[in-house]
Amino acid sequence: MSAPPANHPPEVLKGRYSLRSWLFMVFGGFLIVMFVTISLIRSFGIPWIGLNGSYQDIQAHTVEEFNLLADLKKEHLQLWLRERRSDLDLLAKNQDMVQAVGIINQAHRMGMELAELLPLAEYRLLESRLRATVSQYPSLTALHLIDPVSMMIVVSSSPKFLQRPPANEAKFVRFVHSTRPNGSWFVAGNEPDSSHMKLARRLKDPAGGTMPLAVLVSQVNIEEILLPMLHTGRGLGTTGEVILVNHNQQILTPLKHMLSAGKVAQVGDYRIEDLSATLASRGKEGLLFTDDYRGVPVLACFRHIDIDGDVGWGMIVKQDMAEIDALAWQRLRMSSLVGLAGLFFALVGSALFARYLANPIRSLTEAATRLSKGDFSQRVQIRTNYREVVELSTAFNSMTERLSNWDTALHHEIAIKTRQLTDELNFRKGVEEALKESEQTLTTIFDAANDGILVADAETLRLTRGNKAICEMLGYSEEELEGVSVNDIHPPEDLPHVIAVFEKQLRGELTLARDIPVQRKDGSHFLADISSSPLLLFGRPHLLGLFRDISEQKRAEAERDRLMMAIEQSGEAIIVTDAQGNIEYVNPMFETVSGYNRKEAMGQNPRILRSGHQDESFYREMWETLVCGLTWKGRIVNKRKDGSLYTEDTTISPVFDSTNKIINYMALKRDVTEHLLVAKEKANLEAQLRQVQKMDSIGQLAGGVAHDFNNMLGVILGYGEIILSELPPGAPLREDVMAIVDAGRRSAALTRQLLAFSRKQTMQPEILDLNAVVLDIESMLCRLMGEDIELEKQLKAGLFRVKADLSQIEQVIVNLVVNSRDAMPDGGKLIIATDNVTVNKAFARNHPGVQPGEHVLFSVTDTGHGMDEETASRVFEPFFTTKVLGKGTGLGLATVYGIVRQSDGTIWASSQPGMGTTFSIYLPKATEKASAKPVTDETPKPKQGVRGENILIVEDEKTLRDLLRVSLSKIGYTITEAADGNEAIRLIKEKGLKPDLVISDVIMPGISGSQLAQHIREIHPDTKVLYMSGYTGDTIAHHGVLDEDVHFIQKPFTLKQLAAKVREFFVADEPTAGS
Amino acid sequence: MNRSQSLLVVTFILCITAGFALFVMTSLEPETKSPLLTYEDLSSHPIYSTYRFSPGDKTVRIGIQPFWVYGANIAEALRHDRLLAAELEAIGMQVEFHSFLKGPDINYFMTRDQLDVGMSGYLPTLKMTTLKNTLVPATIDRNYFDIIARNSLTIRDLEGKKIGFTPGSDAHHALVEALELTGTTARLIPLNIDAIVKAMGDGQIDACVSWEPITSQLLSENWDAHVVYRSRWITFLYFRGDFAETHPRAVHSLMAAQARAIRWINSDSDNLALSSSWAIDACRQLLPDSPPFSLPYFIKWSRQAGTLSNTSRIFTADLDDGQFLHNAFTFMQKQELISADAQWQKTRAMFDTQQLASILENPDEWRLNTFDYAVEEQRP
Repeated sequence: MSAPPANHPPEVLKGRYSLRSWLFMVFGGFLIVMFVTISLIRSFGIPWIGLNGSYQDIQAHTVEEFNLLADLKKEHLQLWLRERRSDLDLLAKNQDMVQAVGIINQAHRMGMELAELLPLAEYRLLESRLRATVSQYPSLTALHLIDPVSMMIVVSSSPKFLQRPPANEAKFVRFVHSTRPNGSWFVAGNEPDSSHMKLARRLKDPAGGTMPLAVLVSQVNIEEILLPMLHTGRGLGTTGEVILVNHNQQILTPLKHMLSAGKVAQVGDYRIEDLSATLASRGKEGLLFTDDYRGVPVLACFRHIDIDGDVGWGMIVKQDMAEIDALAWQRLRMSSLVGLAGLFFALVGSALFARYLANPIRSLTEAATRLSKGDFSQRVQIRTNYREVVELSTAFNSMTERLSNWDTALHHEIAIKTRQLTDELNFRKGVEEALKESEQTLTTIFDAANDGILVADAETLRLTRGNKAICEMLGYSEEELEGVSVNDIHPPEDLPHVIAVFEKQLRGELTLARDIPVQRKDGSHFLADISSSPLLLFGRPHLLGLFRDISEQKRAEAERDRLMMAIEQSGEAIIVTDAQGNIEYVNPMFETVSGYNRKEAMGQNPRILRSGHQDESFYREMWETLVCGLTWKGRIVNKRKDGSLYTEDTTISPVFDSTNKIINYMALKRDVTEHLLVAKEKANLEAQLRQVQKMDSIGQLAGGVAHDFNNMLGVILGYGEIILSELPPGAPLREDVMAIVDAGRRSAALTRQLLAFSRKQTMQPEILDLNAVVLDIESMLCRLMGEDIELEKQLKAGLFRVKADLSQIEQVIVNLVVNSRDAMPDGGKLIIATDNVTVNKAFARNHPGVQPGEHVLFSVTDTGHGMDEETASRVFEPFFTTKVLGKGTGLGLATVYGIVRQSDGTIWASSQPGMGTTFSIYLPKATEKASAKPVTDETPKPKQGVRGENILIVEDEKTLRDLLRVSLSKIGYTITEAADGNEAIRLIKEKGLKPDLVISDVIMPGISGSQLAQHIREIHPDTKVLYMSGYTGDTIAHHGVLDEDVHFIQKPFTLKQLAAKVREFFVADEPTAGS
Repeated sequence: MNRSQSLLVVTFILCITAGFALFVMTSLEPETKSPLLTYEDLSSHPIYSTYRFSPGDKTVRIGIQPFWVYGANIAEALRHDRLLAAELEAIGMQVEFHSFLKGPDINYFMTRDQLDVGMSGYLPTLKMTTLKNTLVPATIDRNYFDIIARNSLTIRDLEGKKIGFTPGSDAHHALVEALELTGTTARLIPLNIDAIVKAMGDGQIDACVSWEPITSQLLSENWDAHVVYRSRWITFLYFRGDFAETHPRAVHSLMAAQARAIRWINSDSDNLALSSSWAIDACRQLLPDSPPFSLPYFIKWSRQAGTLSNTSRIFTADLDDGQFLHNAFTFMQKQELISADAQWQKTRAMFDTQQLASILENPDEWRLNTFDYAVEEQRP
């Protein structure tokens, strides 16, 4: 084995410290740091984690002791004060004493001198009591009895005080005039006594006066009694003291220390200004680190002494901080000395330990140094008990052995590696050729690429190379391109943005820069997506940029956006589904119409809108149309998300792709629900209007027929009655004539109903309470209904009044009840109800004929078989009936209709088959008040005979005129006839006719009945007129209501009715009996 | 481990530490609102809105505070005093008691003429004198507010810490005055008295100002807390001025009943215990969910309070300028708790010491030493 050739000796590195020194420094340093840290923590804690050290513990302990001491002294003082007060109480409540005080005080006030008082037994009693008390309680130095009037000490335990005013007279006076039973105050040291505290007790005047009988005052020496008491207990060191202050912070006990100027503070005079005194005097309690009256830092504990509100003192227990800290520091010093001794021994131990550990390492170091100089024969022998050191020396010896072997093998290895290097050089030549071929291929791809490719110098930003595509995009030739700057191929105003984007790409934060503006050689612009990456070419950093012209793509996107906007803002709902019918898009109008938002609709099938109104065949047919590629149009009732239905006109078209395959369906939907509702409502209103117009036309027709028909009936009935009166009883023709008269009467009834329906009946309206009307005819209605039908009344209290003809209203009720009864052949229930309702404009608009405002609702409801819609729509038509032939005339409800309409009301029937029927009548609330009916004299007037009164009959129908003439002549009247009004006037004017009564038709050729009456009254104002008519029109009545003072008889009438009516005129003129 | 790895580890440890510190600080952020504190319009208060006040012409309506040792004892004694009921009945009147959480609440209803008599601390009493003509003839008790704190030896150690208090109460005044006098700046957290106990227990506040029985409860539940400061309080019995003018006999009967109650409670331990159990029941009725007070403790606190308050006389020295009540009045003006125009002399004149003196001097006439309390009756 030979050492390796060493042209340059290896550098010998020398460490700064020996291992032994290093170990000593580390262990020793660690111990010192640990010691200092632990000592500091132990002494001062770690405040910010709340760990207290010895210093804080000592301080806390001192604070605790101070607090306990202050509480103890406060308790002690309060207890002591209460005891002294109790002493006085005991004395004050002693009856003997009170009695004696009264006597002595009285004598004193009467001017008796002390010498005169002394011998009195009461005085001696008092004096001995006071002395005994003082001797019994060592804490008292004196006891006095003071007269509150003379303000003198009258009796005292000590004679030196007698006949003297009480010390601190002002406080005494204040106490005497207060209501307090007890008092206390301090007195500064004066002759004949030193500083003391006084405790006072009122002796109540048995006579009940506001002034006390006397005041008992005890005296306590402060320095001898109070101070020792306050300073008992825990020692306060050389600097500690207890101070009492009053509420003005004036000291009540002497201070231990002199004031800063060397002065001595005077009890009761000197005022302590420090914080603890301020707090104590204000009734606060606590502890503070503060400065005392000398300005020295102290620990001060302050307490408030309060006994029943009479005593309000502050107490301060304090000690100088220096003294407290001195104690703390002394403890800390001792503790630190012990610690330092421990540290010294620990350092010595660490030095020995370091030496013991470092020796084997030193032997190894020396052997290794020799090994490094080429001596591979080095071996070490270490004697030690440590396994690690033995293992280290063994490993060292093994290492030197192996190094020796490696040295031999290394020479052989170098020869082999030289050969391998030659082979490697040959291989690399081959690789370089392959690379050239690869570069050529890449250049071909570079030029053939559709996207523009640019290479630019990263430092100069000059373009170094570009492919054909980029040359075409930019308008440069390949030669021109080289040397063009990157700044030249982007608009100058966009350059900062473009450069920022490129920098991001080069940092790897962005892979593709979109919408980058690029400038052509001619200055025009286009947008491109650019991908840039760094490239190292010829050892210089370059940029490689791939450009894709996206101008065309942008145009297409803009077009698509415009279309999308139009769809989004469309006023019609639009749905786009895929070929399977799953919703891929809905526009906002769809959300508005259907209630489904876009998120909810997406992915769903439009069948979520199905309402069930269309059957499966409907949808099948629709799909068949769509699948064939055709457009489907139709109206669909769909269901919204909230369950409500709506109707829409729908157009669904398939959407094809370029291969003519259906890829989507698009549905255009217009909500026509509102439109349909409006149309339906309009149709309903038109139907109702038509119904009203039809009823009016029928009424007009019926009224016209009734006029002539009544005239004829009048003739039939009149002559029939005349014949009957002429025929003897039992004559064979009598029954036939009676049949004629009966038919005539029934025909008259029919015409009356027709007139009622046509609202041409004359009426005499009055203010009515419908509730009263119902109750009046209730018994009759019950008879009409029979026993199988139950009548229930639901009459509204406080019902509005209506204006109507009573008899007509009764007829209305009867007709409705009869109609209901007929609808309930097997019995049932009939409800008559009244209520006050207010018709609003909307209701009025939907119910032709009803005016807005307050109305009375009168309804009749039955539980009968009801009606279908068509029947209900015709129920008020005259002669319309569902009853079997002969069971009804078909005029009952028509009459009701006419009367209600004539009374300015409306009537509506609501019914369903099997569900009964309700007739609802709305009558307007009467604005007038009901007029009191005149009290009529019911006493019948005596019958008077006819005295040939002159009657003029004016009637264009000759047969009727003849009938009247014959009939009235028979009764005894003198009759003159006229065929029309003009003839009647002629008779009066030219022939001097002066009729007592004119009976005139109303509607005649020429002048009407009312015009005739006007002419006659101009000539003969006293002549009376009786109109007769089957149909009056508006000549003497307005809407059926007769004008005032108009007398009228409805055609057809019987002769008896006419005679009675005529008689009324003449009876009214006859003088009554006795007048 | 190389340098960068070491840096990473150190950064990680710092982040963990900062996160933990942030979490601790956030979790200590106190709830500054108590649910019952936010009612300015007390007509919608969840408790008071259930009260029905009788018409005032025939009923003396008294506002009391059950959460008040000794004050509650006296109030409950008045409630059970048959002599008082009989005296009022003789003049055609009856008495009605309503419980409240704090004095300002009583004033709210007195200003609306729904209460005639109040029993409150000195701050609400002074406030009332500035709102309406008021008669203040007697004190209820004298005691101390306590500032209780953790990890603090003196009040100055509360610098920068969170202190819970009941706004508008006497304790509020005591706390602010203490901080001002000692030059300490702290974060004041307004809380109702029931919330203070919880906040202190949860460690959400570092200190609080309280009174018995809350103080003892806090000290027993928080072993590491102790009293660092105490401030004297006085409480008063006061009447609406118009009521006192129209019903002088009722006013005197109530004052006599209060004096009688003090004598009755202090005359026998059983009486003290009975009045304490009444007071605990009243607390439970007012706030059923509040922590229950132990009867022995309540008796103990009442005894302590009774020792300090065996007279109901008003100490006139407290009314002198620069003294206790005058200082409190000035404080209220400074804190804008009362109007800046309020005049101390006007308030001073509403404190009457003569009426009580005349009653106390005639114990037989006013039956101050005759006791008849409805011990077997349940509260209506």
